[in-house]
Amino acid sequence: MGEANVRKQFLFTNRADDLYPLLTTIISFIVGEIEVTDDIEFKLKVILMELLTNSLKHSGTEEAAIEVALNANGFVITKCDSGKPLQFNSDAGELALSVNQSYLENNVFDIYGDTTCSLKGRVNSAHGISFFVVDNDEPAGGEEFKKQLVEHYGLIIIAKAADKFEYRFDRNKNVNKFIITIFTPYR
Amino acid sequence: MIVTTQINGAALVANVTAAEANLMVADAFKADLASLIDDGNKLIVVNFAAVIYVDSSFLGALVSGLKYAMANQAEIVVAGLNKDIFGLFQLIRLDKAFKIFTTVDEAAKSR
Repeated sequence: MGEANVRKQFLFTNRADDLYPLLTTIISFIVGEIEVTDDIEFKLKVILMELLTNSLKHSGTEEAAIEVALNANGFVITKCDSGKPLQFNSDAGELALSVNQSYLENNVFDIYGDTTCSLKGRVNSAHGISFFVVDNDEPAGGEEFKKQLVEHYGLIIIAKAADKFEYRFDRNKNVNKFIITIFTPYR
Repeated sequence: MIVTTQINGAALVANVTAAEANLMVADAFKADLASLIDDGNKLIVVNFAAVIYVDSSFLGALVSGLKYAMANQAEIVVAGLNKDIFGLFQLIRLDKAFKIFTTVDEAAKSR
């Protein structure tokens, strides 16, 4: 993606009461800068919602930074915090332990999933992964399908709404970065 | 309780009173649903008419309630979703797991 034409940083206090006001502030900023389709606005909303919720639940720090960069190709939203680095356990409901090498196949590991879709991680480097979702065949419905539904949707929502969803851990600065890209051009 | 309830025909309507249906109220909502199921209600209509947005935590609680309902031969359906909430259901395919109705009255007649 080319150089950002507009870039702005927002601070999140990691307090639940501040989540929705910040979300609306960021969305207002974006739609004030550029005209976006309803679909893109929806995706931006749910991505920001889940990024902020993830921060509230997992970062364990007083503050997180959300940076929004816009250019002719689309958006890059980056969340940075100095909490504990993400760790994975393939069959854990939530992020828990370090990526176990035995789970890796072609650098891809399963995080969780059900009969509708599977959330997977692709290891890009020693400290970076990409999340992606593989949709399973159209779910047939019925009782078995419902019984197997996952109850953790945060990362799935972001991965499905985004064109790219990466996580990197900067060891030197002890900073977690979630980087979300939407390539769709503006209307 | 973060839901208020009323009887509508054969259904029990559970109105979500939190405008922000997020992780701060998700556990309470999950407990409310379990309690309504334990009370023997067989058709519960979760009414989102007063809700501005839902997050993943709340959806997780709703799915948990659905599973508990199934284990107790009960059903949970949803009504009153705004455009963004409906879009979220579609995005993660929860529209395949829940019957979605425009109004509570329509939902109450679904069984």
